[in-house]
Amino acid sequence: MKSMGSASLVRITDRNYHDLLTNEDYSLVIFLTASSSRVGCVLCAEMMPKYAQMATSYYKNLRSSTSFPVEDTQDSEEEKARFVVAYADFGECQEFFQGLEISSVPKIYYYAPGKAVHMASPTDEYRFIGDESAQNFGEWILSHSEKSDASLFKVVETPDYQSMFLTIFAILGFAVAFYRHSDKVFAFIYNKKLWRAACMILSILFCSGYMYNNIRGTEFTGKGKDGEILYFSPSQQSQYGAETQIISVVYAFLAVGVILILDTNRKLTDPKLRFIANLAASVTVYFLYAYLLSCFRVKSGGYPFKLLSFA
Amino acid sequence: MLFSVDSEGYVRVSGSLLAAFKLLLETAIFVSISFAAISSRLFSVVRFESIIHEFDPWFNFRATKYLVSHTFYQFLNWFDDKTWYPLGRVTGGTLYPGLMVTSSVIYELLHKIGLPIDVRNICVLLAPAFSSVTSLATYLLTLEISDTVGGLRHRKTAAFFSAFFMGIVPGYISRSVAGAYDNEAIAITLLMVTFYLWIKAVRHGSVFYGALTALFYFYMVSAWGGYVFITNMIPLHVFILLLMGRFSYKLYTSYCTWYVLGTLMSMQIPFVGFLPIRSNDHMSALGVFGLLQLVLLANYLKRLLTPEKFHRLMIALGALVLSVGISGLVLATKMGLIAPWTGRFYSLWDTSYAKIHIPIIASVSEHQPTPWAAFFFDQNFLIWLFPVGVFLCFQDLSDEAVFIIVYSVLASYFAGVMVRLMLTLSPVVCICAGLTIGRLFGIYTDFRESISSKARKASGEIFNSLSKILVASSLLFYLYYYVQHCTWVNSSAYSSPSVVLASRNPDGSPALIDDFREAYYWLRMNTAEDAKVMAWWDYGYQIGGMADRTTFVDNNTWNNTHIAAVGKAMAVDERKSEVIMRRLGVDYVLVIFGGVLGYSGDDINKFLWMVRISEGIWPDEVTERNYFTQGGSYKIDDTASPTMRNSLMYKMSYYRFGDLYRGGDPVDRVRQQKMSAGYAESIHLDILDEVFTSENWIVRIYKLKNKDNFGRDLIELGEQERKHLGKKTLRKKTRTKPSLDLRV
Repeated sequence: MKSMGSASLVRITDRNYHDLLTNEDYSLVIFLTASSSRVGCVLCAEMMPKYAQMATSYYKNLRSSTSFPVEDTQDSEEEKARFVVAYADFGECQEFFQGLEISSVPKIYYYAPGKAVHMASPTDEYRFIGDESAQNFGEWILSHSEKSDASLFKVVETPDYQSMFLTIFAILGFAVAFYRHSDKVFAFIYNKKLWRAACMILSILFCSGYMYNNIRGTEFTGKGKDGEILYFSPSQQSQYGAETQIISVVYAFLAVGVILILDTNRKLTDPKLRFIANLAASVTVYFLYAYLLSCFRVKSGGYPFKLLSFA
Repeated sequence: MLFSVDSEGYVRVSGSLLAAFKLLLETAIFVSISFAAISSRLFSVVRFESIIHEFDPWFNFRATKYLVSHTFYQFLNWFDDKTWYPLGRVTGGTLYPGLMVTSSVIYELLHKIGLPIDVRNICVLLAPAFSSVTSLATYLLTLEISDTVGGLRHRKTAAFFSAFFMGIVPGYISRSVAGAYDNEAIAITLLMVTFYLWIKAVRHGSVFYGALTALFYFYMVSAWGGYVFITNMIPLHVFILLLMGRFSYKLYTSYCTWYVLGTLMSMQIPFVGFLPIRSNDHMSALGVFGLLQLVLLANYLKRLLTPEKFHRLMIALGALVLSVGISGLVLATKMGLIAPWTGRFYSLWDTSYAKIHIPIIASVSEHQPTPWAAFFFDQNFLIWLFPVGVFLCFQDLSDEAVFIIVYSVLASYFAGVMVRLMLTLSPVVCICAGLTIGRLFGIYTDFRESISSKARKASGEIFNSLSKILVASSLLFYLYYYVQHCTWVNSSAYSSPSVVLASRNPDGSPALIDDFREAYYWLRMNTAEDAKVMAWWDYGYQIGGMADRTTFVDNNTWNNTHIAAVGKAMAVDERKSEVIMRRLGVDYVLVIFGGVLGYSGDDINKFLWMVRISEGIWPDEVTERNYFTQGGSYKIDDTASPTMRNSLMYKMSYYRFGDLYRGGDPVDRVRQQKMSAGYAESIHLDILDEVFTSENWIVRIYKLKNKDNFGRDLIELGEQERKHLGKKTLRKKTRTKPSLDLRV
């Protein structure tokens, strides 16, 4: 148990939670979260880094404090005031969550030493207000122990050097490239075709529900009743990631088809060739539109219209 | 001679006759577009009756009635003591008056010319009437755009098509059916007119059109909070034109005229006040205004100075302006001179913002992101013609075409983030699709060459005609299908008033469920005029509008604590609730209960929001977890958690629910849960008297009992009574109908 009390943020899984809960010496703090996109818990994703920051700074403070490391086998008074700071992800330990009997995440449970055996009744539970900082968590934990040292919970900001350097290098690189090849960059910026394509792609993407996937973090595909893979969610109010891809491609081809019909008049002079091109484009547009309708019928049950029936 | 036949057999018609014929045809097209636009919005009137829909329109209706019966200044200073009891609401200063003023002006005009039409009918039919104006504005706007887009042989074709699309596009009808008396009803019209005038101003660089743009912008500001879209759209257009190096004095004139006049006028609306110079939503307009002055200065200097000097000066000036501007902005925000970016603005850019920080926004279904099916549902085949229109706008990138491009990308992003902003996307989709179809028709329905005798001899002409017939017929088919789709969507999805519900009798004949009006009418006729009715905020406007009684909270959710107090009174047990209700001064409590009929939008389903909102204020007294069973499910049957079972909302909903089933086990049809008959009978209420339950039990009204004359505790009294009376007599007692069961 000692090693656990002094390492770092403990990750609970179905294998280790039993040992952790039966420990008698330490106060236990558990952050219960669900990071899987299936659950779609936004608050969990918000809070986890802050909690982790609190935990790492706690352990860092602990390590730098004088009483550490303690060599003797007997736990000192000071050590008993320490906390085990842990977190559990629903995806990794469903058995543990069943034991807790909770229905919503995120939660932070505090167990006084020896109390963790009664999983479902924690000593205290943290109330989220929505815009916590790591400091809030630390203060809350601190409020449960008279012995513990407040300075241990001082949040240590660890600058993310890696991303800092990356950003600086990227900016420098761009600046140099811009300076060296400014004429090419300008040609790129002034390219009308590029902007045209970008605007069309953007509007197609937004109209095929790209933002919905982004905001909701939807699954790419779903599962039907018999376990088969569903590419289209059967409800009009929801969708899978695959749908956006399929539909945006359909939209793009439809748009290209119409543009072809528009342009044949200008580009092809031979009437026969023009007719063939028009025929091909019109038939493609018709089939794609029919396919689009059949996709829509999957989602909207009572929709009465169709062009062709696709299996 | 008006016409003659020439040697080749062609009919030659004189110019004046042709012009007259053209005018007649155009008018006929317009009349039919307006007819289609208005009639496809009348489904709800035909099917139900001329009635105001949903929730917010009831407030607008009530405010309009107030305006019609009072003077305009009284309306602006209106302090409404019938809502938010006991706080009241400064209604005149917290609403957008445009809608009410519009309908009251129409009302006065009609009365002046001797047509005594009821206010309600004007309010109901305002949105369809304005929709035909929207088609006209769309026509004019598209005409301006298509002037500058090359390759359009018949530019009016494109404009007519876009007007026709706009008339019946479901994305717009969703907010403008007859009875949807909401700000959006006139706002989209104003949006289109403002944009049309703006394009006109940019084309001609005219102060006149700039001033007109400002005038309609002012009207828009007075009508809808979404005016911010224009406030950012026009500066963005100008900014992009500047980036493209297209500064011109026309642009300068029109923008400055619009900005100065528009800002000054918009500040006259009490609710807007000083926002245009303080809130960051409006800063882009100010910034572009400043930028234009600098560009003007630079243009002037360029003429005076040598290129070298000018270059150096520009760099120095640019750095100076940038640093001063940024530091000024930061400083002003820090000092609190500029309001911080408002929450709604954040929720558009940072998509997860609203969910965490503004639960009351997150709880509204209108603010959800849009899946693709909704786009198709609301636009049909226009949605895949839309990118082609953007493509066409790029062909000769005129200043006006840039506007459409910017509008399309911006609006499609916003519509993707928030369902309700589909409304601002619809016009541009119609314009782009109109441009595309107009272009296609210009090419493929032109059979002049094939008919003329010379071409008939040419070899490939048959193929030319064939391809024209092919494309034209497929387009006609898609158009036909578009009309079918729109009609189906409008009649099946967007024409329910939600005050009256449609259902079917067992034999399949249509039936109306009119519980809401029945209950509100009962309130109006049977309670004291100053009675205070407590209900969840969704029904505040309806109670105010239909029952004319004082409410505690309503759909204008300006005071979260007050809402939480009502939520708490519903969520806690009788003893605690009595204290809260006496303190608030409650006379009646109204609950919506759908368990009998299977009406899923009832209060038990909304109950968790009440719990959550009151938990936000009183976390020690209300805890969401306690309303779930041990297993974590939301139950209302025998296994419901004790907190749930004791909550006032639960008791009010299920009180005497068992009586309906005459000893059988009652079933809640919304939640599909069955409770035992004995348990259902044990649900009792001590502090409230049931005074009214509507025909299908959707609305139930309770009266808070008066305090006991001997000062005894009502709950203890109830306990004693239950103990003393035998089971049989208790049953008999609960069976007696309340004395106030007057159904009129």
